[in-house]
Amino acid sequence: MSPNAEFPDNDDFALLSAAARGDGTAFEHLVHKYSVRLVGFLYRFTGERSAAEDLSQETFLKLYKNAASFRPEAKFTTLLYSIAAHTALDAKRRTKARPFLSGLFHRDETGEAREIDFPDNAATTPLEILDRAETGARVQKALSALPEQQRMALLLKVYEDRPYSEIAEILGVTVPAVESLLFRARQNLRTGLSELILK
Amino acid sequence: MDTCNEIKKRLSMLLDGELRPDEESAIETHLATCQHCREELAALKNTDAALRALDTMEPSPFFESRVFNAVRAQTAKPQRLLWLPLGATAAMLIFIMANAAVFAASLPPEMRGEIAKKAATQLASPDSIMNPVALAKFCYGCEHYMCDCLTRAGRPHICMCKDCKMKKMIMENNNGK
Repeated sequence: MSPNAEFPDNDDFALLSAAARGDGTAFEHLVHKYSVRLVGFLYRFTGERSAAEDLSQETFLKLYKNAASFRPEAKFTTLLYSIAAHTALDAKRRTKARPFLSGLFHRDETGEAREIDFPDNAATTPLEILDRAETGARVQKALSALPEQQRMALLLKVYEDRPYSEIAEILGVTVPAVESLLFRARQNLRTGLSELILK
Repeated sequence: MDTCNEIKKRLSMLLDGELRPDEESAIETHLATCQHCREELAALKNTDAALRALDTMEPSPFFESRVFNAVRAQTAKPQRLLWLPLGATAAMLIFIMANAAVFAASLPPEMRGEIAKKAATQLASPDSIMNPVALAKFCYGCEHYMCDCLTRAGRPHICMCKDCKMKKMIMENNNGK
C-alpha cells in the first residue's frame, strides 16, 4: 500500500484527525508509516515476533479508538510510543521473566579496555552466522532479564535515541527517574553480559 | 573534585549527551587521568553497542492487514452491541413478569390488586424498563421479590417476607423515635 499523496509525511496528527472522522485511508497511511519501526522496537523489548506483532496491533488499535481525543501537544511519535510502552509494560507484567546470559569487552596490549567487534551483517560462513546468532541470543536474554521499565527506558534511548525528557513523557515518570533507570539498566545489562567482560 | 563513584553515576548521562557543558567538561577532565572511569565508560559504550548489534525484525507480510481488519471489526462492534441490551432487557422483563405472576399467585386475593397496581406503575416507569433489576430486587436475601419497591412505595406491610430485614429496619427506626 503506498502512502496517500494527499497527506504531508510530517503531519501525522492531521492523519489521525482524519482517521477519527472515519477516513480509513488516513489511518492505513499511519500504520504503514510506523509498523516496521514499532514492531522492531517491540520485538527488541519482548524478544518474540508474535508478541511484538500482537502488541503493535494493540497499540494501533488503541490509537485508532482514541483518535478523536488526542491533541497535537507533543510529537506524534511520543504519543505512539507512549501507548506502545504502556501496552507492553502491562502485558509483560502478566508474563514470566526470561533467563539471561552473556558479556562485554576486552583489554588490549596496553591494558586499556577496548570495544568488542560484534559480528556485523556481513557474516557469511556458517561459523560466523552461528557465532552471531549465539551472541545475539545471549544479548537478547540479558536484555529480557532486565526489569521492564529499565528495559523500556534503555530501548527508547539506545534504539530510538530519544532525549531524557521524551522518555520521561513516554513512561510517565520524571527526568531524574529516567536518569536512574538508564544508569541501573546499563549496570544490570553489563552484569548480565559479564561472560565477555575484561578478559 | 567529584569522586569516581560520583563520576560513575554520571557516565550514563555523559554517553547520552544529557549533561550541561560545565558538567561534561569536568567529567572529561577526570577521565583523562582515571583509567578506572575510562574503563567504566568503555563498558557502557559496549553495552549499547551490543544492543544495537541485535538483529531487528520486520513485521510479517500480513501484519498491516491484521491491523486494518481489527480496526474494521472495532468499527463494526457498536452496531452489534446496540441489539444486545434490548434483547437482554426483553429476556429479563419476561423473567420478572413470570416470577411476579408466581409471587402474586401466592398472595391473598385482597393484596393482589395493590401489588399489580404497583407493578404496573413500576413497569410504566422508564427507570424500571431500563433497570428491571430494580423491579425484581431481592429482599436482602430472603428471596422474595418487590419488597424493596413496596417499601419505597410506602407499603411495607404488603411485603410477604417472613424475615424481611427492610421491615425490621423500619420497625427499629420507628421504635427508636
